[in-house]
Amino acid sequence: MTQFHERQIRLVHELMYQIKVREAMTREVVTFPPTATYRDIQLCLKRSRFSGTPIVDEGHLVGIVSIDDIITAFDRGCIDEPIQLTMTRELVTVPQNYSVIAASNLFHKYGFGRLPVVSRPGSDDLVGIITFSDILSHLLLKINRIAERVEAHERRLVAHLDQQRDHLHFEIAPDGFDRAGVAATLTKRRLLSRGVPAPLVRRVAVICYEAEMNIILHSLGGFMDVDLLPDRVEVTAADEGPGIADLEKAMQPGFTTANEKIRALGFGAGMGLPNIKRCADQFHITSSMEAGTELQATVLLPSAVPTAAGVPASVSPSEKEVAHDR
Amino acid sequence: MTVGDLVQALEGEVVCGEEHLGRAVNAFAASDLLSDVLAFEKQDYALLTGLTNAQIVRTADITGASCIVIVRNKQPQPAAVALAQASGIPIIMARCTMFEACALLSRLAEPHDDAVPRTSNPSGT
Repeated sequence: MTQFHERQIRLVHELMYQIKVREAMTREVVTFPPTATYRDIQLCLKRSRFSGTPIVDEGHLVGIVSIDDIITAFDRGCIDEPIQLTMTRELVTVPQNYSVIAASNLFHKYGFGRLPVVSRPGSDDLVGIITFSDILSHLLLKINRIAERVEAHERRLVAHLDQQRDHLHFEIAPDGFDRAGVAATLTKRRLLSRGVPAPLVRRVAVICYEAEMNIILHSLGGFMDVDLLPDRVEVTAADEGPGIADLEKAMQPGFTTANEKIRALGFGAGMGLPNIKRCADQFHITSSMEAGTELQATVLLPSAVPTAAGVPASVSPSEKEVAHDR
Repeated sequence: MTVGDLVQALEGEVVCGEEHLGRAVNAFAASDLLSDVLAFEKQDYALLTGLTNAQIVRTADITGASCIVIVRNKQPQPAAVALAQASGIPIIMARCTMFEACALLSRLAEPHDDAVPRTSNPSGT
């Protein structure tokens, strides 16, 4: 036997130990009183296609009549007699809190097709009936659920791996002017290699570059995340402050508080945030003294572009604090 | 116009990227404010600037420029040259001022009168 088969059988065995009789049993049981005749039961079994029925006397399980018993009754000519005269009172039952493996062993031992289920060991309080096919159905159901769980888990795993491949994270140090643009360039290369159309890559790269530059020039440091999703590219740039005093003003092209040093480097023209907004399909920025500035810019990919209509870029004028230029 | 044509017109010196002189130049951006350049919509353009730092190359790379022209014969910083070589973007040093470079190139970029198709209905319908 292969290891694979051994594992399968172990799994089935473990499951059969786990599944309790009460989970697999049928709860709605047709019962007859001991005063019923074999013919009453025969007609009922014929209608319902059951192969046996428990006999209950004032709430107590007292016996079981199977098709075999009915055939015997025909033979003996007592088909129209009440069953209590001839039925066997020695009953094999299974308690509901036993595992189905116990029931399975009893089927095997006695050659029965069904077992009455009682509330607890030694009790004659009927709560259901269990057949071998009940056990099999429940087992299949359980295996199916396990398979679904495994599949779902694998899907999540694959999605997670995909996400890793399409997720970029950059720590951005303040005053690292020499490093400015590294994140934007790496993002550009990655997006191009993942098949994002060049004009969209350019927009994302400009967003990254300006956001990166803002963190370097105007903050105490921060980070930038780029996520490539099926329908969009999301850029999140966040810094540790000190925040933007007047966001509305900072969004105006040409507004700047940059010093000569920054301007001499070719930045600080007051175009950063307007540039980012212009390149993004969706734009959101919040700034506060406590939390710093967080910017989210989304560029929609071709399949998603039609849904972009009516999604305005938003500036949240709330949560703004200390004066700062972007 | 190619990058090579532009080098000739400006009597420029190619600092790096000689292998890309055949690249087309379809537009021009002249600015010392890189954010303005980042706001520029066109591609395959020549970036004319007085800046010499590595950010001119980053900007050119991100926006898809064909080449960088540094005016007033300023030497690009070593980091800029290294980055330009890595990203395959030619850097050209030109002796002229920004204004002169723009004037020269704008004359060159203007289509000659006889080169403009006179037919107002080129499809013939």
